[in-house]
Amino acid sequence: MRDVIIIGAGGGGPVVAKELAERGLDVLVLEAGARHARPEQQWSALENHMNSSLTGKLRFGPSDPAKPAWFRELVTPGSFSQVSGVGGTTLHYYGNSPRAMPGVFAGYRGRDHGMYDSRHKFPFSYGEMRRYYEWTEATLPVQTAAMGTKEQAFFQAAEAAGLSPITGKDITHAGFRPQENAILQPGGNAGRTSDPSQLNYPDASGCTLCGHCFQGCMLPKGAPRNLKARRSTDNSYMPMALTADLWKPGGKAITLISDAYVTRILSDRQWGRRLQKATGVEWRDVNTGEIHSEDARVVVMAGGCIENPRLWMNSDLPDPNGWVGRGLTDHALDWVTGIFDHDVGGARGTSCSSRADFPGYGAIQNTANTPGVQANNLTNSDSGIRGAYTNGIGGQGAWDGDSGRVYGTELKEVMSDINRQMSILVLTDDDVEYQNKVDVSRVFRDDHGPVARVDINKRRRSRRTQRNRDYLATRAAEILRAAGARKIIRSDWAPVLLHLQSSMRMGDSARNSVLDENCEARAVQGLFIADNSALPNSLGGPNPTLSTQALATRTAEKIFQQYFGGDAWVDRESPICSIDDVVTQAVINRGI
Amino acid sequence: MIGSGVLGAAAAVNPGMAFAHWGRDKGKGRWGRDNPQENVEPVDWTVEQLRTALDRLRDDTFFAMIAFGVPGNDPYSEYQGVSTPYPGGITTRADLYLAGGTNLLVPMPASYMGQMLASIATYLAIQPMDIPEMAAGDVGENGEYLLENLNSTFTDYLEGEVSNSVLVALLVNLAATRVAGSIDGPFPSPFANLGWEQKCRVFEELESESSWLKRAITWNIPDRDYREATPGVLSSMVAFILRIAGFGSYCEFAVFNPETREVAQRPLGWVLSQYAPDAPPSGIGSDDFIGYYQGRRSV
Repeated sequence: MRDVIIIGAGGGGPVVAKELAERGLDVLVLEAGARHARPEQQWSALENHMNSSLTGKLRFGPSDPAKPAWFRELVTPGSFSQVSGVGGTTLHYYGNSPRAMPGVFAGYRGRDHGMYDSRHKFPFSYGEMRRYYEWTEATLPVQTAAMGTKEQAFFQAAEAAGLSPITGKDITHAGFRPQENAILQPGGNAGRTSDPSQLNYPDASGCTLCGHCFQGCMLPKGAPRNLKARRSTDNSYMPMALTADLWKPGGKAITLISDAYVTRILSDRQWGRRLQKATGVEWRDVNTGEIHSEDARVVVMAGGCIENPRLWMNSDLPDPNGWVGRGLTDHALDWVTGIFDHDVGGARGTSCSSRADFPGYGAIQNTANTPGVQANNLTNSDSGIRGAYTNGIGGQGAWDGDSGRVYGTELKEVMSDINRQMSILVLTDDDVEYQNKVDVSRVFRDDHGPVARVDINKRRRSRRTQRNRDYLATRAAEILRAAGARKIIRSDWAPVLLHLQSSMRMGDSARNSVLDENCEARAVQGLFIADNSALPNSLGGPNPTLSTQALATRTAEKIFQQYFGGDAWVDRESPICSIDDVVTQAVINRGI
Repeated sequence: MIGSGVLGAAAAVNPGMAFAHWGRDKGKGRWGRDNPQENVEPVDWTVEQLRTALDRLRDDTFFAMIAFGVPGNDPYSEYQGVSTPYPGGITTRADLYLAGGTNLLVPMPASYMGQMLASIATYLAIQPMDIPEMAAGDVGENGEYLLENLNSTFTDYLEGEVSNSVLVALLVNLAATRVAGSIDGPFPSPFANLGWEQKCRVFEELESESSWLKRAITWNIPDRDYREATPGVLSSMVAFILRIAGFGSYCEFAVFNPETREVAQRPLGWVLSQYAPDAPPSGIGSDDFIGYYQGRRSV
């Protein structure tokens, strides 16, 4: 019997794995997708090769490229942007690691407290969360992003639009700032040259400003895995978890099995406050089809907002209050693009290093884009084709013309110089709403049972969600205008299911949450959740990974205290950074 | 040329005769009106000819779809009245990318695919596609006849082996026929013969929440679970082909060398967008570093 089995090696699972491995527990991590053990020999910087949701290296699907991607049913228009494999969706994230808005936590007394989703707050205070933020930020580490051409243009425009800088990690007011990114700052030749012969480690360290975060970070070339620039969990937490015995006295390296799709959580019925007790898991070897099972004292679900409800339902686990899979949030993402007569570095430098936050509304951030992805982003809309039809929406505002899809000759004109574009992603503080849900399909099934079915209807979001989204699109357009854009386009995206949160939410009320204040399932003893689905809300708009990782750190402490008689450590110890020399030596020694 | 089993048996008893006969009976019995094609003389045809006709209709439709999204200096762009003096998506063969992706997008169970196609074909029997005479040769022997006489029974001959891309092509051409009626032109696909604005009308219908066509197709699916899933499946496919026309045209897919994991030459999309002028090879860094905002390296 294992101490702990963790289902999923994405943004959250490896955090629990590393923290508990450091405590000496026997931890098994099961990942459905690929291991991605040798990225320099397997990956490229090319969009279709890496990012195709159907055939790319970074897709939600099995490691064998000859096998089709794993399907999820969508009830309403939208698209998925998630990744399986060790690292999960952090494999293509931009490393953005802002803290959540303080207003989404219990006990918030700020003057703007009425601006947030007050019925679905964190069940504890921001002050309590802060120490887990600090621990996680030191472990990854999170650093202030470097500035390039487009960041400089964004900051100058934000100032011109009347915003002031935010100078701390806590979001205290509406303002702009460099991203706090889980990306190592450029060192040596990095950022100073495009000559590949000068960009090998250790001549270059940290971010080389290649602009390929979305294609997965494998740079600088030759760097040990834990010293790759971006701190996706395949580069940070997972290398630490796999070597915990080497860098921590009393630590125990985890066991990692990839290509292992968990199909069932095993449980026993019991009397008491919780209806069942988790006893282990059953998984299927994706390559051979063999079924395996193993018992554990504690099971941690970390398969994401879509797979967790599916697994729960396919395991016939109880759902006494009807909230399993409910309350899904997605930041109601949107896309605003400015077209300029001069070069603003639209495709150069880092992928995403500047942002502006608007407490009570959400956030916006400037991104660099490769041409296929940018064309994809410009042709995604719920508002029809610009100038032709609006699909019943086509809103007008601070942008030019109707919102909508850029198509035909306008697409070619807009795409005629990618460095004369500046694009801004809108991250809405969206409400937890019961009707937005994940359950299982009645039509589609695969080798692992009925597939997940996702229903998040953009057109039926709450009034506050829609107001916030429009507000942020307006602010984005104002910044682009201040930057000198001659034309501004609002896409009005159909849902892009990338920033998913809260489908298995924690909460202070047993009536509307799946998890208690410790992220343990209210209905199943010994079953915890440690990914975005455990978040109680959409964090007020900020990107979710850091908050999930901080919460997962807290959850690891709770598991250690409740089930293994240990003590909490975050208040008593100092974290070991994932780029510490002792970790690097362990990674080299183990050959990972 | 003709397979064995049920398919062979169907062909052996003159499928063309059976096809036309069923079309008349079902058309009258179910819809209370004559099949507009009922006076057409039945012809002998083979399942292989049917597959060829469907595949060529699909290919033509996807060419036209790419020209719609990323026009260039190709015949499809020029005929739609919206073109550019330099190449567009068709030059990158984004049509292949689009069709291949559509096929992988939704793993349609065979029975569901059958009901979906039958539903689409039911409406095609009411308002058939009109394949222009000048393009009839492009859809193979008997192709014009077959495409103009599709009805809800045609999938019986295909033994469930139909791709999503054929389904999408039939859907788009059904919508094109409803939007513009009989359409003359140089291409076999009715959609391909539309002007750019008319193509917009097609997708206005297909994207609309209140799309009559999507509702009609849904209502006509007998299985309840399939019926409930249909609006989402159709919306996914329509949104995909609208969106992926752009991605397929601007990404590296046409010139990717899997051996080197690098492009064999500069992708057209990179040329069109002036992206990475020094590539290939793909860059592994840039000299864009300016410093830190207000000199702050930490907060």
